[in-house]
Amino acid sequence: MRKNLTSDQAYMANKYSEFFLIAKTYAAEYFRKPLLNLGFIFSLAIATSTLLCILILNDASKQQYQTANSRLKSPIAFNILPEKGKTISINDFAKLRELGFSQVNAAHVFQQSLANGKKVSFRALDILPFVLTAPESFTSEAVNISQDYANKLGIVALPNQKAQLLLADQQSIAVNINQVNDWGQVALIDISLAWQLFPDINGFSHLMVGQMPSSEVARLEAALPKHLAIQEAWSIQEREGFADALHLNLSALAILGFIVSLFIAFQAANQAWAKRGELAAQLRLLGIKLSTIQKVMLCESLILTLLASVLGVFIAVILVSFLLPMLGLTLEQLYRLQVSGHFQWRGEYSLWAFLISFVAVVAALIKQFRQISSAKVAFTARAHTKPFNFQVTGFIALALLLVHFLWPDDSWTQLMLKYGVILIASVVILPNVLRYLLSAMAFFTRSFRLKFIFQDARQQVGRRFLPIAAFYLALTASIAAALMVNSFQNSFESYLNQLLSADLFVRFNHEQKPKVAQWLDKQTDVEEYVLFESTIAKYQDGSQPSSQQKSQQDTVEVYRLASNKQQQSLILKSGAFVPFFENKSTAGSIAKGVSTANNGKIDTDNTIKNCYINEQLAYKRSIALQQTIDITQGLQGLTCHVQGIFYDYGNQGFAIKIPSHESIVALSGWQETGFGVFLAEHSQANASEVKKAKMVDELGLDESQIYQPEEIKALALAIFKQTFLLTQAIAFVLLSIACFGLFLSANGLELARKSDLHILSSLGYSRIGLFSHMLSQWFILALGTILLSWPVAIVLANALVSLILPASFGWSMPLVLDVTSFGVSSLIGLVILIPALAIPLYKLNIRASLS
Amino acid sequence: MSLKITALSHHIVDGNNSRCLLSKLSLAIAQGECIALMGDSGSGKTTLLNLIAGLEPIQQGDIAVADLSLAKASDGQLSQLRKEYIGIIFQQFNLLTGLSVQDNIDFSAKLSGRFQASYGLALAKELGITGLLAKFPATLSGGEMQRVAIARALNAKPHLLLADEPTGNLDDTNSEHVVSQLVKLAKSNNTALLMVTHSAEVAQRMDKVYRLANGTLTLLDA
Repeated sequence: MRKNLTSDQAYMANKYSEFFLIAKTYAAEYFRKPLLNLGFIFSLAIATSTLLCILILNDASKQQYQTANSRLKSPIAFNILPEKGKTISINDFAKLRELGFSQVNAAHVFQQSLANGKKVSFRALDILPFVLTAPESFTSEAVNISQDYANKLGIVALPNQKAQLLLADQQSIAVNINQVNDWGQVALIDISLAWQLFPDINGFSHLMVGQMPSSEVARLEAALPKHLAIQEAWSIQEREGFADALHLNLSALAILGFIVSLFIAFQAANQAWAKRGELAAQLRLLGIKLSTIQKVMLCESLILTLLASVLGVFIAVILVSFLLPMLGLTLEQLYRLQVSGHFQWRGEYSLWAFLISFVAVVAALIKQFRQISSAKVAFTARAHTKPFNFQVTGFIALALLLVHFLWPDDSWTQLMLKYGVILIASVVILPNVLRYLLSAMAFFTRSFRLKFIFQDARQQVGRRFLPIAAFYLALTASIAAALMVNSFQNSFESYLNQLLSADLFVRFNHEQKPKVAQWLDKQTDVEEYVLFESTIAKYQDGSQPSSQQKSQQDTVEVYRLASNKQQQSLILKSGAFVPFFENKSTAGSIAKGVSTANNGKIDTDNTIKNCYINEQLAYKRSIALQQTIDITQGLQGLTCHVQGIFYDYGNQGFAIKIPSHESIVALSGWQETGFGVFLAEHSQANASEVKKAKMVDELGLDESQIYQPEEIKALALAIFKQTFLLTQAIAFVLLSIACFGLFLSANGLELARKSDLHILSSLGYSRIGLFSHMLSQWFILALGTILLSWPVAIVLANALVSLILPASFGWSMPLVLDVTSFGVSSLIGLVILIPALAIPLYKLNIRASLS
Repeated sequence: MSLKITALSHHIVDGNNSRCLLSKLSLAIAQGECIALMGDSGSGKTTLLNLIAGLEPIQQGDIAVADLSLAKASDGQLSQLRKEYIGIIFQQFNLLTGLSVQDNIDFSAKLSGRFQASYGLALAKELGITGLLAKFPATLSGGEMQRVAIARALNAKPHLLLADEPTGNLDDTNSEHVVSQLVKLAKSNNTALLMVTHSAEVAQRMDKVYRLANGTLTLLDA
């Protein structure tokens, strides 16, 4: 006998037949019950599709942001501008070209009135490179206008006719309408054509200079005539910061979605394998080796995952085709770029989804293997499941919390992981929280029936842990997303208030400025008006820079705050406003910071000014309050004392704001944006609108020169809502799939309790009584889950806005705790949850009836 | 000798208490011998069957099935033992629901490598289930399922057949019919049969009847 048992030959002869016999037995279950594991396949497909959908959207947003950023990035390193009131002559330009500065290109920006009363902005430049690279979009023989801008100007191309631009003087210009929005609201025209059409244009308004080495920049600076100066170009638009934040937000949500999907896949697989436990136990009794059963189950899981993946890909394609245009719309509104069509489906997406789902399925399978191998298989042929170990989960949760506290937080990725650990810890602690909560509720309840519901639910926590955990994760993700969006929205509104603090903005040209100022002086309902101006400079800390440091200096945008009201519009993160007169008092003693020295030292303004720096500068260059910093422009500059750090949401760059009544002469190259007009507080409700109309009438200003901040705010907020629609849509999808997972698992979980329900039924529980007993248990568990999800969502959302954002972008925002965020997400969760549970319970209830 | 149990002791732990279920128990069953095992609930009958089938580890003493010492056997050897030498008949039948009656009957025989289509058919004829071969277990009555389970166990021509209250779910008429066929077939196959039962009528059909009480076996008068 012993010889027989150890005979390799006999063993090998049986090995393969045994495998195929077991495989046949497993397959026979499907032939007999074709719907076996259909729920599992659907759950897995839904989880796979969500995972795939998030992966695709995340990847698509990354691809599209990269495209958008690269298209936004200006090829212009800096501009050369003339002094106020002067132009750049052809001679100036030719001279620079003669000196070998081939990167210098001339441009002229000007406006013309149209016959329909609208104004058109022209940008005249050498258009030949565009014609050569994109002949279908550009021509040097007509004015090139984007379709959007043409619509705005009211230019309509009639069939078989070329579009025309009819100027106020009845001059007609041929128009080429294209789909290129990169240049914004401007009509591109070849410079030679502009000179030909508009003979009154003299020379150029500015010169654009491409990237060049620093030595060349110095040579160019030296070669410039005295009336020309270099002006740094601010190529990256401020809103790009918000786009990056959106992407980060999406990534954070993707990680949460990833965990939810894995959980659903895991719990679906867990249930499916648990069903197989009895068959495995029977086979083991009949002498089948554990390894053979494991191999067959592995093959089965591979086939099921493959089927689920195919179905998942199909669902994901539908979901993506619905959500991707939303992303495209967001980008279009953020950047005015049409990039949504650039996304390409990749084969790897399906592979990722399959592999990740397979990992979840195999993880559940390994758990089942352990159960089958360790379970006491006896003559009853039932694999005995181990009771849920609350103590172990409690210890694991504590260990994870310890890991969280010890985890480094030196980069945003580390921070993401650190807070991911806390999320997992909260999932692990969830059964204990629910158990103690239900114990407490049972303790304080006198009603026998209610007490029984609590006690019975307490017993079911372990069994129902996985679907509850999936629901908990989705709910936490959803609330955290709602809080993040809410904080973003509040911050964005504050940001707009900061930027658009005045009641009216008036743009002007050099001729109009004194006229507008004079008019505003006479208005009794105008409390004050301030000149908005800014310039580009370099920042360095107090120490003298070495030549290497000099080349690494940061570019900062310097703004002058011309009034106390303008100063008060800043939202300070730390520090305090200095009384405005303090700077005014020093203004009288401002030493005229004129660039005279050529001994290599910075000729700074000898009075230290007060200033406010943006959070980005403070965070990335470790500048503290009361620190002194130098702002330089070549050899001139000023020193300032940091009095406050202000929030500057979404800005990628550094900014400094200096309160000063008078012009800051220590810096040059000030760009005047316009006047900000503050109306008297007691003005009528539509005062700004009335004032706007009056200015148009009396000053002859164009309507487009006067902005009402409220209009801009409303528009910006509308765009903002669109921006976060995708985030909210994903959060909703997550919650829905979690509830779908619950729906499927509730079916299986409650069917497994059928014998208990039979007992209750035989003891006199009516059908409706059983139904309400089961449903209220789930409802109480869901409420307990919501209770834990709230604080955890706050921790996660706070980590994102106040830790991960600064670590990633340098700017943060305060977390705004809004009851609506909690209420709406929790309510949506419950609303989806109740039918998801009620349907299987109702079905079960009928089956449980003794009749 | 088909089965030899030597000084077998087994303890179970219930909370903080340890209880001796089997105490230095010895038993030998020859080929073709049919033994009934009786005893009160909780006396250790099913545990003894579990130990013989290699489903529970031996704590003390030894069991030898076809000369293999179960105390020293590996898990693989125990699986192979169940597959090739031991047949099991369960109280709950444990038929594979996805397979037809025919496939269920052939299953163990195919596994042990002793499959003969004609023998399976003969068994089915003997047990009166030829009309059920194409059916599935879910459509059968309790008596029919038990007869299918017996056919499955015997089709593999095991040296030792273990039966745990095979008539527990059957009425008296069915019970008597099933047992008489089981004994007849075991004898004709020269298979040793150890059957746990509570029924004195069933026990009377066996060669020997043992009673398990206080961890020891007592041979009752036939």
